[in-house]
Amino acid sequence: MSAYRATVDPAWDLDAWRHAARQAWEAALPPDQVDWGGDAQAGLLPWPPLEQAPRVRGGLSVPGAFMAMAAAVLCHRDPQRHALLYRMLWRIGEGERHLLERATDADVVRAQALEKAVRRDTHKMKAFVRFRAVPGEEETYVAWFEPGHWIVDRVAPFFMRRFAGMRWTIVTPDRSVRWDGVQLWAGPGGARSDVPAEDAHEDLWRTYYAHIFNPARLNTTMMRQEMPQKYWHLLPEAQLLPDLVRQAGARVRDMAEREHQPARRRIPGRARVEAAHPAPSRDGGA
Amino acid sequence: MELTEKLAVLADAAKYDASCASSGAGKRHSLGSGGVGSTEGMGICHSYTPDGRCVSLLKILLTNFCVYDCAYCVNRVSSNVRRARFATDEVVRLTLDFYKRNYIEGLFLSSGIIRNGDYTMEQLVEVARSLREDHRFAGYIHLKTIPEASPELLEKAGRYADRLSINVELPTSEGLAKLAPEKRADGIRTAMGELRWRIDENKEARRQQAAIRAKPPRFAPAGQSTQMIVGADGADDGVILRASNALYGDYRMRRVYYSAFSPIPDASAQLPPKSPPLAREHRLYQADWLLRFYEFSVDEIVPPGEGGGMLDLDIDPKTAWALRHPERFPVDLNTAPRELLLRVPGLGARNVQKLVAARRHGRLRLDDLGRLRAPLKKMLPFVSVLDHHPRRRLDDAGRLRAQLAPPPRQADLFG
Repeated sequence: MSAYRATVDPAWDLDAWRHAARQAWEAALPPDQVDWGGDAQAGLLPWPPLEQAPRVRGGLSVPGAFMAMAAAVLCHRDPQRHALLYRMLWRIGEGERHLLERATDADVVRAQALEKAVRRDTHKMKAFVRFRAVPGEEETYVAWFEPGHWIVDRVAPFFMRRFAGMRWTIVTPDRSVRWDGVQLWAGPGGARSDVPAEDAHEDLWRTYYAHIFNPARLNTTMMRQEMPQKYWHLLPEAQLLPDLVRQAGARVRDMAEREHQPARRRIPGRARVEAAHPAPSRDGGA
Repeated sequence: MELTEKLAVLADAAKYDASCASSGAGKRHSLGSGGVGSTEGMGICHSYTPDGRCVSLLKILLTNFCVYDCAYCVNRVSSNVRRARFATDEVVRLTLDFYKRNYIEGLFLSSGIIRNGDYTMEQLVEVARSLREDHRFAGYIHLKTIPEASPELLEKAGRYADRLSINVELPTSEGLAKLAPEKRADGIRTAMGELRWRIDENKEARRQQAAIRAKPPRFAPAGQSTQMIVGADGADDGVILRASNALYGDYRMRRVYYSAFSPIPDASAQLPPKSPPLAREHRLYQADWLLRFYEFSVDEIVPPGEGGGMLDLDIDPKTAWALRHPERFPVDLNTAPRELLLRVPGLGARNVQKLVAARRHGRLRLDDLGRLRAPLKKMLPFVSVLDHHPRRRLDDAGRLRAQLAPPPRQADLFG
């Protein structure tokens, strides 16, 4: 039996992978007879392209859950992902219909790990993108972001649904996406310098961040787990972290050592409330 | 006062409210509305402060002027903290400006009591109304509800907000009477009952209307939540968990938050001098989880008459229960029903689901457990699979406990 090389372009796209996988399945090519070539977008081995493989059987219908998982897995940067998915597709087609239920199978475990990494990356992008207003243009915003995986196309509709009434662009090193109020546009990546260096509201945001922090509960392990350091350079508030952490201990000691102070003043209006709701006596007669 | 200063004072005033949840509002977007905002079920944490807490909502007080004198509260009338007050449109602007830069999921607005309950509630409702009606804001809104506010205001609040909350503050009415003399336990519970009634009623009315266009507007789709302060009065963990259990049952709370009372600037002399360990709050959350998702009862978690009604701080409540009941183990992961799997220390609800699915396709072995990424060290003494049995490890619960509990840590520097 001869072998072929597959082309998936764009490499994270479900339709592109499905098209190639269907050709391979219909040519009855076992997993080791297809070179998926990772993110080079075409196989590296000197094999003929998949399009030339003779079709020997009909298509295959796979569970919807598999395709949903594949859509996420394809966004991962792991160059083995196309081959992994085809191997799973092959196993499902060859009789393991319930493969995904086998949570302890090595292929399933691997695919779920990739899916989880993509889901996390997607979630962090939704959380950590920071828009800056474009000076002189009404309701127009730009953000610079550095996702870990090929997720920009996958996440863009979320920003469209959320910020429909604005015009915005998200620029990343590999890809950028723009919403003009009517339609989403995807294009090549850009540079951090494509985005304004600051936004007047970032000082207010930093003020809020510093003051919602409770120094008496310092827990930087938890913070780092949820907001890994690799994102800090994208977050205007993260500049404050070293100072907030350093000063926390002293602030708590000050609170603890401070003598109790009698109230310096009364807020007017208290008497009226008491008249409306007579306070229960101090010895517990509520 | 400058806006920046107000924000500083009124964020400081709001940080002792633990809730920052922005989930449960259902699906909503701003396509075609001209506004901004969406909710898609799961909330998003946009940042984390160095206390490890999520920043999801702009959590502020409208004002920290307050006529009440609750001993545990940083904003009580007898405290000397700086005071400030936002104009309602300042809060509206701040929410929109932060939201459009993707800093937040929405707004959690609370307030000190100024003049009276109705006056205060009216201001909170006005912020929510303006966001929704004037600016077509579809992000998340959580409003703190003043128990004394009139039913008309509650009705409006629920129409604009996704979540409403009234803090029960302390687990017992005696504690409340002592530390919050102006607050009334019966008034708080009546208002919670009123909210539950309105939420249920609205759900029912929406279900009965088949046509989407004829459905009445949603009322607080993300339900109600509440918060209890831990360690400010003498209530033990059993009392706290029984109070929570009643709150979940009687008022269908989505969440009860536990807030270990922490040192505040200008603390009241009525408070205990030392705050409870944060581990206590953590154990309470774990126990709360067991009540809601693992089919445990309060008596199983805090057995009456044992341990002084307190949870162990050094081991989690599920492991503690297992060590008290060695006769229920080992659980055979290949044959045990789901409700027994849920009782295994270290085995979470998701992994239970995975195990039940996986064992239909073959008998489980140690290797299979390894791939689940469950904490094996904690699990293995309590389970058996084809090639593993804990043998006599369960015979000596004291020794097993010592193996599972972390070594004692260095004492708190400020203790």
